[in-house]
Amino acid sequence: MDLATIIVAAVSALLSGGGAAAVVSVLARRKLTSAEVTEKLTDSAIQMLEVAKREARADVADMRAELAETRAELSDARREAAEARRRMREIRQDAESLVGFLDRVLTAINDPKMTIGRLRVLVGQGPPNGLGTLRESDS
Amino acid sequence: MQQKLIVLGRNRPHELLLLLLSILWGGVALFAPTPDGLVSRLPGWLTILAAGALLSSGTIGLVGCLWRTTVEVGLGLELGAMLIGAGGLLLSGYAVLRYGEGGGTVTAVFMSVWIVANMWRAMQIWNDLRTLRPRGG
Repeated sequence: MDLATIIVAAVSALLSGGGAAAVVSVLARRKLTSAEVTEKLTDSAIQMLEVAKREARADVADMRAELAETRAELSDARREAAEARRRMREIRQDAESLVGFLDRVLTAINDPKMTIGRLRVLVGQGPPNGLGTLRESDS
Repeated sequence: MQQKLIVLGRNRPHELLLLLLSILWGGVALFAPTPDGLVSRLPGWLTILAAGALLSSGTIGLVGCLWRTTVEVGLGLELGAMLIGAGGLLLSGYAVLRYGEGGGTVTAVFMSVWIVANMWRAMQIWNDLRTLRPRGG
């Protein structure tokens, strides 16, 4: 093999080797790129999950606070409703008592045997619970 | 107003057919060599080198040209095929000039043009790949 053939063969091998290196590089880079993409996707997914977890925790904390506040408000409302019912019961009892007293006074007035003195005594006694009590000075 | 015309598409008939010719030529020289074949006149292992280069260049080049999944991979394969083909054609052209008998000059000129076209295309792809790759990546 003479020198010219060796030179041409060397240049040819150089070119072919460069081309083969380019092909191998492209294929290797493609695998690397796929791995990088997978890694980036995994990182991205993990970050998204972390953010979602943090947001969910914050939401749960907010909801718990709101729930506690709502429970407190509900408890106050129940207490107020019980108080209102109690007062309503007292008012109804007072009203019934007053109605009974007025019935007795009316019956006494219509009684032909009733005297002014007895009527004064009856009015002075007032209803059982003290409502509508007429003092001597008021009459 | 000056308008730019961008021609898309990677199917270049001349290139595809020359790559196909490389496959045929390299395949015949490697697997069914004839005594008067140009590549077969090279001494010893150079025949295998030239025929293998032509065969692999044609195959890889066609795969690269028809690769549609990733542009960078397709162009990279085509770039490698152009360089490998240039190497194989250089050896073949040398064989034509050195061992050819009559009419070898025309064939050698044709193969030289083919080599230049391969190198030209390889430079184009190299520039395209540099443009495509993200900066700093």
